[in-house]
Amino acid sequence: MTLNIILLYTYPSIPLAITTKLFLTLLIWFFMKETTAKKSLIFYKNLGLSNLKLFSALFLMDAILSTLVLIVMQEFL
Amino acid sequence: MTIEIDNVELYIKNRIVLNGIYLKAETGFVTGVLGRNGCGKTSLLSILFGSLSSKYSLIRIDGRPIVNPLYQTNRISFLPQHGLLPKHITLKKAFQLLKVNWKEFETHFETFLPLYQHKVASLSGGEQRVVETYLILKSKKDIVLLDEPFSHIAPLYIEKIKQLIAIEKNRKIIILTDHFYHDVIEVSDTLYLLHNGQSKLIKNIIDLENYHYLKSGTWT
Repeated sequence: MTLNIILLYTYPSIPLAITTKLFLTLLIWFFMKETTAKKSLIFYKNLGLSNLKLFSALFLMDAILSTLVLIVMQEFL
Repeated sequence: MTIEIDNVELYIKNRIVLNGIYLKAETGFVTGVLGRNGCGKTSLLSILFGSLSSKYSLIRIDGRPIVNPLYQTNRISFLPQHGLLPKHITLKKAFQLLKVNWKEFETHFETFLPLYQHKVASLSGGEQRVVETYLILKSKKDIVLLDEPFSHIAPLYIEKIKQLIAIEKNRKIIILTDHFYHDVIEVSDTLYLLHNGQSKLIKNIIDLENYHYLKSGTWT
């Protein structure tokens, strides 16, 4: 959300917002894969969710929400 | 149903951890895995589950090789050594996600009755472990892997969990490992020892002494 606000005031572009979200998702994925935080992913694997599915779903939800927020806020700017 | 894991070769930072593993488990039997610290018990379960990649490993279910990680087939559940449940969810949500009946849980563990709406983080370490072990044991999967299910749990609860394992083994493959070797031996029908990276089928408990897992004279 903080990122959405920053983008809104600096450069309110939807492609830029989505690219930034993609970069952040990949960064979190890499961080979780390379540290002990990967243990927390076992719960989702027990639900049958692979890392790819989990992070893709997170990115999609984030991208959709960010796009909606940016579209709505651009109307007021 | 049977599951076999064979030809496992695992290196961690150039150190060979597992080399020459064969383990077979089947429905109706509990398979126990014993071994010293760092012998690769957790790694073996993780390879079976699919969350750890090894240099080589061959997993077969009913004789058919499995190519993809087993967890992706939705037939396996795994209780890891360290906390399974996300701390921010409630017990209600955890039971819903893993499709386990809370009412039945209450009948086994009455003291948890007021905790249904509580977040996992508000439970003590032991309480979390009981809930996690129960959830994994009761999950609607064919194969259950339990890594240290008796650790951090009160003796009374250990007995209940052993009873649950005895019930669940009739319809599931259960593979477990723990340092509480008395409990593992008691609950297991088949026992393996990991020794020098290899698996040894234990037919006589005295073999645990012969392989220097137990101190000489422990069982005699």
